[in-house]
Amino acid sequence: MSGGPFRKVLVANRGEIAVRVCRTLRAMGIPSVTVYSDPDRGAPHARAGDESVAIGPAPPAQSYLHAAAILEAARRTGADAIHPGYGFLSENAAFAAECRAAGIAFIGPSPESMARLGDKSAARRTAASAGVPLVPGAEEIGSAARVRTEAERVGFPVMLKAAGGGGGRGMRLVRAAGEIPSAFDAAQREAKSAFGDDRLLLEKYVHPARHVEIQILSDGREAVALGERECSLQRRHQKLIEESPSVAVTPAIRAAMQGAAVALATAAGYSGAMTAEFLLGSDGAFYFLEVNTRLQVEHTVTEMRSGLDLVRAQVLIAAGRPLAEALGSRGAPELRGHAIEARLCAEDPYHGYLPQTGTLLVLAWHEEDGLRVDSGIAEGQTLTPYYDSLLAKIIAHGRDREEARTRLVRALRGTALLGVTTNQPFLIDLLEDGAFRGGETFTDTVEARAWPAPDTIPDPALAAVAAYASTPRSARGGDEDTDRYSPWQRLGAWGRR
Amino acid sequence: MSRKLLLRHGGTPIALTYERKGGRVALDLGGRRFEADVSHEGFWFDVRSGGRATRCAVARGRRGLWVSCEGRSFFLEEERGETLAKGTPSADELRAPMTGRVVQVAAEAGASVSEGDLLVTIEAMKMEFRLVAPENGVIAEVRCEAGARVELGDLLVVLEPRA
Repeated sequence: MSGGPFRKVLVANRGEIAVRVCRTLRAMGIPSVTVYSDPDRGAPHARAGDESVAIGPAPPAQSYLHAAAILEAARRTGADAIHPGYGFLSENAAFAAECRAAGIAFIGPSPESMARLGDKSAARRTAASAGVPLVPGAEEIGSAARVRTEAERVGFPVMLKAAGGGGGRGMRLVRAAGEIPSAFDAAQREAKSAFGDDRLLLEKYVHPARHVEIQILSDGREAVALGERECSLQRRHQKLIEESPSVAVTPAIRAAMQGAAVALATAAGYSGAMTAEFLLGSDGAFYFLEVNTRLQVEHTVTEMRSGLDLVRAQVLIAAGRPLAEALGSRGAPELRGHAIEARLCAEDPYHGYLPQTGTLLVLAWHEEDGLRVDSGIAEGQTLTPYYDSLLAKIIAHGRDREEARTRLVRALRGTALLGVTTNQPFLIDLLEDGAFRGGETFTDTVEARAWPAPDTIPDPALAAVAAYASTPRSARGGDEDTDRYSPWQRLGAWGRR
Repeated sequence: MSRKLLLRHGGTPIALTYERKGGRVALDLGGRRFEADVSHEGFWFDVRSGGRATRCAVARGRRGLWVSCEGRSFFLEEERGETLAKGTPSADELRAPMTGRVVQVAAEAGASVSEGDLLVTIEAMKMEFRLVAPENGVIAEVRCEAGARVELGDLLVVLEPRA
């Protein structure tokens, strides 16, 4: 085969994942195009590719979810492939079909396998026929009365979920019959708003449980499993800390889970990167949760252990290259050491995880070997309320879990981020907590406990403030009222299109 | 010459008197005194006190000072005469905790509510947040409607507390 896999790739996303995909495209020698909404003009991702195209105003429906605008941007720039990242259009089978009709490769599975696996109801049927164990539940939940009937059949507590997407949106826990009306309304509304689809399904709530998922790479003919990631530490069903391997996964559980995930991929004729999510009960039994037919936020954990670049593998597979080429000359990689990822989010962990906005006055990452930072933010950037609160991911690798953990804590302690409240201190608390150290991590570990806010300001911080106040203005950095934060000063050659 | 900083952290006032001589800072925090050696480079401030070295970062935003210390950041409002006292919301004003969109208004003017009752649901960053009554009371005013965009700090509901 001559030439590269694609002429030019458009990255239909924003933030850290768009930056990260561009990095791989550059390493592969493939020109890249990014897209941005009005408030994202000048944002790091809009400067990460070789070209950048404005696609519309702030609301996702008019920009990052606006299929026609994105396809038009691809046509205009001559891109012959689109990488959707995660979220937005990444699990939208209709968009994948539109790409195909437009003669543009969608870097992800075919619309057919997406329909078979991405939709939760369809995925449960595919899983059942592939012999994968399921959590007891019901589909096509269209009324509060139906919630009641099914919840009484499988037993409270139950979980309501959006049939059309993941990421925690449209999910509500129902502990008792009295909670049904408000939970049903809220789940339906969130599902409609996030996915344009208000269909719900119901599942028995397995408790206590760990969230364990298997990474798959498949070329439509053969599939390889790349070990597990444990993502039990969540708030509002959004993951906070992910690691591999899981302390709770024995070789026997791993073999069974990987077998189930490969069976799912094979049953769907899946091509690309895929993740099968499972709930692991304390008895070692596991149940299929859902399939993510895209790159996961936490794919970096697998990359740190395997040395593989999963985005590169996605690109090669989408270009029709065989799995063997995507894996490289050494075949299925050996998974080494332990990796842990922490998600840095613009939210106040001590006040209901409320999203935070503001201007990043100072941003300085801690650096050391065995550490990776995937960031979508830059000093001087103003964070807007329109999108997901994820700012960056910090991933530490170590020979064992404790080395990775202490490295990640050092990284979080050594990172200075001023101007916007983030969950940085909370991530440190979680990683230092006895539950995490002891591997006692369950899906309700975060929310079942009260995590007190650090209320007193440490003396060194007050000394630093006093020193700051008595330092001449010309000698200090980071103040908001200086011109160096104008995004215009930081735009590259492609910024002013 | 000693100087004074009037700060506020999460509603708690902090009166900090300090004196700086070269790299040495002597602080008085409501009668509690301590000293530290501070050196700085740009926004980094290396503080040595009681045999312990700590790296801090400080920057000024539009509304006050941000300081971070070993991964924990604090926002300190700077007191400027009366303006801060006037601008401090009273306990019975429910304000938007972030910029977003009102999806549901459960509060009705004149209605009695109990602590924890849902008043308004706001959506931001594709997530819903429930704002609840901070105490028992009667809804005096509802200042928002479903579908409306609200900015951080906008007044949403006025609650008259009732014992």
